[in-house]
Amino acid sequence: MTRRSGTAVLVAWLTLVWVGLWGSVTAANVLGGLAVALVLVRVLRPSPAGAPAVVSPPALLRFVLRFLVDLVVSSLQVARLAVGRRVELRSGIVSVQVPGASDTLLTVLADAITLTPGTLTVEVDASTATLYVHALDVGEGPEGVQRLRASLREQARAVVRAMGTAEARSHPTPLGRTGDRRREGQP
Amino acid sequence: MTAVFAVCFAGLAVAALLVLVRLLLGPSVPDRIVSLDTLLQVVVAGVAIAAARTRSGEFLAVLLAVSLLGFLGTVVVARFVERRGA
Amino acid sequence: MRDVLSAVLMLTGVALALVAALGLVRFPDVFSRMHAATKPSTLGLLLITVGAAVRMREGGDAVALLLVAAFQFVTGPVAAHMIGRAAYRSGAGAQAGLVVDELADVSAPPA
Repeated sequence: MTRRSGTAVLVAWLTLVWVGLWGSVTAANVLGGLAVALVLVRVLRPSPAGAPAVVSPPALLRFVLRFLVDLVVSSLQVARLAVGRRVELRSGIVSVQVPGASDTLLTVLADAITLTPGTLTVEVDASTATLYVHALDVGEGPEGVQRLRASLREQARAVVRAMGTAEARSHPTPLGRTGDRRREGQP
Repeated sequence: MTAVFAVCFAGLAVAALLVLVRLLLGPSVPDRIVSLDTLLQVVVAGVAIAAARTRSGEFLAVLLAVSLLGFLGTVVVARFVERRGA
Repeated sequence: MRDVLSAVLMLTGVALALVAALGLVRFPDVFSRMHAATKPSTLGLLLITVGAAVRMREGGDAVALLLVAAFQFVTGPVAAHMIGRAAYRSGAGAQAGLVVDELADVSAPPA
């Protein structure tokens, strides 16, 4: 998606919301919404977040379907924990890095992580493209943390495939092999 | 359908009471923000079901306003807590 | 037929709202309570609004309800993230008993 088409999508979405709020599709509503959207985009100049995203419809569809399934699974999981007997949970906060991710991509990924089973984004460091994720249960020992990080990275890869920037796509191993900043010795 | 609506409203009422318990217990401010956020969702759910019962869209504008204002409130208070501490 | 679909969606949604409330009360710390407050209640509200939309007489009303659901999807996780960050930075999550905390290396929570 180029900068121009990004703005076009935004205008279309704002117009859609406007028409939805009025509740009926009439010429006046559509034109009014279009006018308001254009004024808003012109006045507020929302900065297109970083490099243009490359949207891949099939990957996006797969991601959305996967996301809906995850949402159901995570709701059931929380339901079981809420209704069942108290279990000892080993919760923790794990970091995962997404090199080359734009702000938009990080936002979508953070949202997806929050709504999928057992994980919740608590902090985002946009400068290093790192998400800090709270997990209800990290499992036993360092292997558990590694497994968790691997599944988070898989999720990030799905988002990159669906709507990543060219840079994020071209990253040799989209999220590195070890993703853990301490291991990679970065500041 | 009458029974369905009765069950829905009763369920939401119980949910709201449970959320109130957490709101009163706290213990931290973030706990209370989470509770208020959830309480608002229960209210939005209630209005949506009420709209479904009467099949009229009178309160839907209220619904949209409430759900967006709720988000704004949550963000503002969260930022406040972040700076001032719980 | 539409009534049945609407009833099933709304009842499931209410059940999920109940589960979210129950989790909010029973879970031990602020982070796990947020898990309860985000996932089931987002899905629950989605089901309830769709269930209500199915019953509406006018298409415009149904669209308004679906907009509520869409806003919820966009704002819910962002709000959760804001609260989570506030909880961590303010030290409210300190008693959470985390077994790993890779955030502590970069942003020390106040004691």
